Amino acid sequence: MTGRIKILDPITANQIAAGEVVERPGSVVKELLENAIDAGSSRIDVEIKDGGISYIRVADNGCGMLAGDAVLAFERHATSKISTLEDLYGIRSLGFRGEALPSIASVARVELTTRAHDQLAGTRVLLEGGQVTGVEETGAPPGTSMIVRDLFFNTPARRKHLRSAGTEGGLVGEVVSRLALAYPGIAFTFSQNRRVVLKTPGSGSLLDAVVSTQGVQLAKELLTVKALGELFVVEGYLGKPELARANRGHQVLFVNGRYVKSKLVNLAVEEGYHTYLPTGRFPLFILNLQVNPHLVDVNVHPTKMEVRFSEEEELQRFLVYQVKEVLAGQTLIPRLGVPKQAEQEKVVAGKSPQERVIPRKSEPEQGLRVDDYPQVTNVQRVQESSGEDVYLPQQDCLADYLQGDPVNIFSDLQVMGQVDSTYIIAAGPQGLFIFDQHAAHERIQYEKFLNSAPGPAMAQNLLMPVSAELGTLEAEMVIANILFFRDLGYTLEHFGGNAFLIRSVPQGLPPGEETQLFFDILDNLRGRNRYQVDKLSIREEFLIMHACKSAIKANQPLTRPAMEELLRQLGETANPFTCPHGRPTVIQYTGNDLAKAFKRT
Amino acid sequence: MKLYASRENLLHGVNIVQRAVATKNPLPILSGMLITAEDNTLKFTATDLEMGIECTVPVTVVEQGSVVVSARYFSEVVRRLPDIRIELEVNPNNHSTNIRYGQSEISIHGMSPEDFPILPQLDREKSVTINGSLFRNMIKQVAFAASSDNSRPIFTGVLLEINGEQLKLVATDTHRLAFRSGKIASSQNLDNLSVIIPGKTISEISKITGEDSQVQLTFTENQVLFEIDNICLISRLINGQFPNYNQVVPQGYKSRIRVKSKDFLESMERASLMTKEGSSVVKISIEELSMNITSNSPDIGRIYEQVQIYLEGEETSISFNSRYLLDVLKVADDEEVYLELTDSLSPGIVKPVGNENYLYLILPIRTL
Repeated sequence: MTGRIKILDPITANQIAAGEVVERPGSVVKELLENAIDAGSSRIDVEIKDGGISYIRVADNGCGMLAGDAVLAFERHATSKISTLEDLYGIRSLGFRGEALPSIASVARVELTTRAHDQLAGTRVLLEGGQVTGVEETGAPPGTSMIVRDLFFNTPARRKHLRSAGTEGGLVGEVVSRLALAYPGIAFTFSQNRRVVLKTPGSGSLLDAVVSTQGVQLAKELLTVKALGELFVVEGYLGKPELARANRGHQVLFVNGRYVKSKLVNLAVEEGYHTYLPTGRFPLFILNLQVNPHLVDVNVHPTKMEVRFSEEEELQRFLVYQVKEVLAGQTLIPRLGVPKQAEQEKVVAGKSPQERVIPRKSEPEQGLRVDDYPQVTNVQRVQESSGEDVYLPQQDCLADYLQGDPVNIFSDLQVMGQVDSTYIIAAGPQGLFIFDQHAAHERIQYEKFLNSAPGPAMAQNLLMPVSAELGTLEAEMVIANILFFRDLGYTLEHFGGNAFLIRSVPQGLPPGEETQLFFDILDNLRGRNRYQVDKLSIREEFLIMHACKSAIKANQPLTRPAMEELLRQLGETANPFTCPHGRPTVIQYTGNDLAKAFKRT
Repeated sequence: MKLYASRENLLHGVNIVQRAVATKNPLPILSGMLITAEDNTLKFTATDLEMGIECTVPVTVVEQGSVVVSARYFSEVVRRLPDIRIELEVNPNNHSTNIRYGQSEISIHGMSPEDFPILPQLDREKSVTINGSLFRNMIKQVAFAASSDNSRPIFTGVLLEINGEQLKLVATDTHRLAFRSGKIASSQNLDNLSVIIPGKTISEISKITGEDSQVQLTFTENQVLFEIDNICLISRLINGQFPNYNQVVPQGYKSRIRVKSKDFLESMERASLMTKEGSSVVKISIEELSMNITSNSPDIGRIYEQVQIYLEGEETSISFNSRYLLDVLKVADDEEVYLELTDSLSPGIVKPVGNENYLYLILPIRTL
């Protein structure tokens, strides 16, 4: 009787591995792009047909491979990116597992053409379902070109799970966009069914990449963040509060150039937006985080979408601080009610924002150097049509326009009057401003209370202690932080098991809120957000409530001097643009907006 | 139903029962008051299902009957009627209620009396009678200390204990506790009674009770009935175990001061002006001949108050929420009060000089 346990043949093993890595055309493109990026390319061309199901081609001008390597690359766990276990703890390349190529090759018909720069001839390798069907010497431009045809031709079950060509194509587009954002120094071209849909200049400027992938409208509403910390470097863009979305779908994070999702980072950035956004709105951001590879573990999941940081608290503190810094220095006034046609006219009909191309100002068009790149057709098409078809920004430098210094709009405002006894109308060099008097005063009062000397923290002793039954984890956190709680005013006494007696509560809280706040703090601690649970947050809820109560209300007529004083005080606040609940205090019509509204342009 | 009544009597009935009308209840019938005419009396009834009030006034009944009228409109109408004989007639078929005065007439829609909840009839077995002015005074000195936080319902009520000839009222919001005892005629059916009466009920009772009336209290398992003259108020009780207040009252003291209530109150009122918004902490230092009350708020200013005292024991200092001290000083009837302290973390006690029946315990503020 033969044994039942067998070693799987390599092709089956690769197909199983492919289940984790190769889910859909988008994941194939992601793996191939990461290889191209790791190869040090400065130009990457992606082309797909039928959403990438029948045809994917990724061509780069990177280092290329020698003939022997080209075949070996399709062996499982074959990689040039790491060689020892130690390398795994300091990964500097996108790929490292040596799984991508064999996985892809096992479920598709693959053609690899490659030439190293110092070789005269290139190599072409053909594979079908993981089996090498041909290796030949061939003429080729330097770099590597991979063509993947008939994805999942030999795994019909998987193929059945693909969505429509349009959806899959869109997902591929997202993959390319993300990597284009992560590598603004690489010129990406993405064409779908022979139509160029995305093209980045590869100028090295993230803003150019943002404009190319997200459109110029959105790019105008971004705030630059760039900061060097002891352990981290963060660079990228934060959306103004008005760009906030109802979900986290517009939060793009790269860690060392790798697109990842990190709840930790999301929460930290959102904390930085605290009081700038209403609850349930999430900021938009595109951030590139540079971290010492030893401080981040990317080998959590085969798709490498999750990362773990070793200095989580430090990272959070750093991000919250940086986001707050950026927001604090900005003029964040939503411009409302501007008729949109005027702006839309500039956008070429029928073209998605991705198709707009921002030519690089520093280099002439010829700088695209099509001569050393194998496929020129797509690039040429764009160039030919660029005369009329392409959105060109106004000649004044785009970067200046987007990142102009925040102007103190409040200094030169002239109060015009009050509407509905609720809104204050003011005019200034920056246009027409409409203030919500309640929201504005709420902000003033809030910051006044916030900045007033907090005085010593005080605790009200309780006659009858409140007993708190906690979970095991919570109980441990309470014990670990018992002195911290004591500093806040909570005197806690262990009552056996996971029960605690609250013997004193922070003084000055409304009745009934004290124990609620205790549990809120505990929840925050559980979210590893200890940095945000300080004495300030104990006061904050109270202050917001208090500010709201003491602020002038809507439907309250104000004299002109009162309105002027209100605007002057608002101008002195750290964040004059939203009330503590995150609603706007002011909206703006620029002179330009008014001109457009009256069709003067 | 048809009757004649004076404006004064109608208004009295309306004003009394309106306290129990449910203002925010989805049941429309509860926004009304039931009026029932029989035996030359008119009975007003209102309830929010927590508490119900009945009030009977003399009228001249021509035809018996009953109706439910909107409490809001009926009371506003009655309030504005001229002071002449008023005729009330209800059409039993459509409950339309006609109010005639002089040559004028108001007709308002009514609701069917069958839909109105019936107030429970209590067995008068366990009952006791208390002097109205004593009961009112006791409530005044205790009820304010009850909590407004509904998350622990026990503390929103006032504990009422009867033991022989002793009636005790206790209320606490866990920051302070007020205790008052009084003498009543003993009732053998009612020994060792201990119930928690909702704070709203007890404050309505003190408003309804007249100076020289007698209040009869009747208790059942989960209800209490108050009968004052022509008024019956029935309320549910709060279920639960009130904490043992005897345990938390410190025995003895290290410092005891005697101070004029009025001086203490006025100083405290001025000192509380200089407390930060939202906080109201004042510091009290006791010296041999004086009590110094200070509060300091960087945004507003500071105050130093000196009050003459008579000290027994050690000099000391302690911080309190001024509001809690003001509450007790406002209701302390006696000319002088004692303030008894042990140390800066132990409860302080306020007692009127010459009235051992009252005790007020206040927890200090700990400065971190």
